[in-house]
Amino acid sequence: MTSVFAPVIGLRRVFHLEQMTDRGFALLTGGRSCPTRQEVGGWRRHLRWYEVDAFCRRSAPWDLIAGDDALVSFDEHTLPRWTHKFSVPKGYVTTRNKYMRCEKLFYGYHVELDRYLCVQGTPGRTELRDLAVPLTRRVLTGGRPRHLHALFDAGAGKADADVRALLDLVAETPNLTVTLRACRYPHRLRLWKQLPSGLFVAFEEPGPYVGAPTKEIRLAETRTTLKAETEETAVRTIVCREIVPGPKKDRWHPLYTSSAAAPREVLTDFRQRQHHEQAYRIGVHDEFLNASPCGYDKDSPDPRRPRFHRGPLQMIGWLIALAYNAMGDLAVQLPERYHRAHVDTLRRTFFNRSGQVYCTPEALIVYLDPFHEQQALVPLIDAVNAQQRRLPWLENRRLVLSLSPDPSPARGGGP
Amino acid sequence: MSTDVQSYADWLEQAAVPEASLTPAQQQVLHTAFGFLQEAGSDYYSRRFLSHFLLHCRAGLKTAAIARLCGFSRSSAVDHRGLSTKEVVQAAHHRLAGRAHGKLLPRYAGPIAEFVLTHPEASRYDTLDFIQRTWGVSVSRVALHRFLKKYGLDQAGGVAAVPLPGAASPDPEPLPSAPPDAGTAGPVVVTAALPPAADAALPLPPPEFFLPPPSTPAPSCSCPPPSTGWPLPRTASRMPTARCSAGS
Repeated sequence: MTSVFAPVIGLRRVFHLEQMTDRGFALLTGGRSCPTRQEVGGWRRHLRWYEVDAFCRRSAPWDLIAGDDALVSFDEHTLPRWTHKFSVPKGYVTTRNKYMRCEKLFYGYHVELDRYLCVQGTPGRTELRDLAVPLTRRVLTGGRPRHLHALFDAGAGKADADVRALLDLVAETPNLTVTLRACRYPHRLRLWKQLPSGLFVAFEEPGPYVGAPTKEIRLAETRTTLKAETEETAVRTIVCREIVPGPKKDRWHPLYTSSAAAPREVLTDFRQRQHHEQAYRIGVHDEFLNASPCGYDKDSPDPRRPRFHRGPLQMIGWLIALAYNAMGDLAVQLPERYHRAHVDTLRRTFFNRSGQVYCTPEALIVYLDPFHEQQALVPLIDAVNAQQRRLPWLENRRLVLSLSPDPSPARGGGP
Repeated sequence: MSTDVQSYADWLEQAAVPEASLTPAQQQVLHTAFGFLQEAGSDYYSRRFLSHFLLHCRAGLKTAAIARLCGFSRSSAVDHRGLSTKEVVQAAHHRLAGRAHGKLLPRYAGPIAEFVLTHPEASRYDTLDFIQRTWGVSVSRVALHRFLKKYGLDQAGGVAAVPLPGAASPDPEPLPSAPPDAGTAGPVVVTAALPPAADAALPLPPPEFFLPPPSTPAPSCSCPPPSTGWPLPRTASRMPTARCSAGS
């Protein structure tokens, strides 16, 4: 329970439990005193990978995509590791632009609903191309969508064989479409730049900010022959050229796709992958995703070859994803201005509030002190109270959430 | 009590109170009471105030006789006997407010718990007044009783405010115990905690509830002492600024 609620309340590190004396947090996490860091850390370190896999499998929100059209992005999040004692495999960390010790979490993310779907923890040397096909298969078998449109970044297609593996999966799965950004290898880029200008269709898009000049993009459709293949098996390629005014070079965004949709539509779908990247940013800054427990075994006899324990890394990564999903579900039930609100916004506005807790023989009454946005919570609190939830760890007392009768406390006084 | 009483004797006869059995003092009190009824009318509120007066004026009248004189049932008069004047006024106000309207929502439980905890001597009518003032709803006593019972607020001693962090607990007390199953016969035994004062002791569970103390071994004496970091710049020796005479 502590690990579940830690990302919700904003507990940055497990050792911050040493200073935690909040009785409300103790009741929330299943006890009457706050848990110790030793207890929680020990539980985390001894998580078995197969138990974690089973938990992830059973708690995945497949109901979001079952029998429906799904637009799912697959991408990795790299967690840098700073250890000098253990020889942890290295990988490329894009945000730091360096090759360093790291571990990775690969997620499947529904970019239209903004919900995580699945997770896989790996050592740092694993790349997206290694897991692109297995993760897609997992979503297809677990979620059983009517149609799945899978989006990948360029890491899924570093080699032509990786692209072909994805396209082979498309060939054997009728309800699957794949779009991935093509690597901008010089010889390929040279070919795309040589496309006749008549093939390009120009579009205007709004600028990056209000009042900015409009942005021009040009889209062309072509086919790219992969290495050691023939023209018949060439891949449909959408070439997007973003015109940059001034002396700078234009930007080229080629996309391999198995979709038959119009180029503009494919580009629009692919651009929604940015929601996935944004979710990682929220995870890092609001839920402290980078503080997930390390996957290398600190008890390994040889520090130069530490064993890899997937359980702790994947479990905490998945709990953070589930907390993200749950807070997204909560925000949907709030007024519209809170839809798609960030985790820290919800925490600052609604979660970390002071109040009183009354314990009676029948109920645990949580009485929040007045705050300005409390009226937004009234329908939600009424719904929770109507469910008559009980707390098994508190002698099955009924949980009652309560608000202050004063809806709008006076702001700071002034003349 | 019928409203067509014309005389004092008829009033006594209708209430089956023989005049011969009354003492002179009681007769005087009842004469005055009859005059009050003639003047104020025989509506509910007049009769209620009159019965309250007769029950507490130490005239030696029996409760059943007062009930018949004022037109109440005996059981109601027995209930009225235990009320204070303030509660009688509150009851009159509650009746004047008319039919109960509004609903006691579960989210009202927090302010009501706070009221019950800070006003342990408050009557049901005080609580009803608090609800009327706070949310503008008028609920019946029965509804309030059910609400308080549902959330365990019917006994102020059974409510414990979980204290703020940092408060010490010199004398641990358990939280109010949960009731037995609904199917269990017999009265509900509630371990009532004392009404907490401002610096009340924390209600703590038994010691076996808590997690065992951490078993992480302390650093051994052979471990190197923890580093205190680099020395402060002002305590470090100054670097010589004179150039070395390499040629000499």
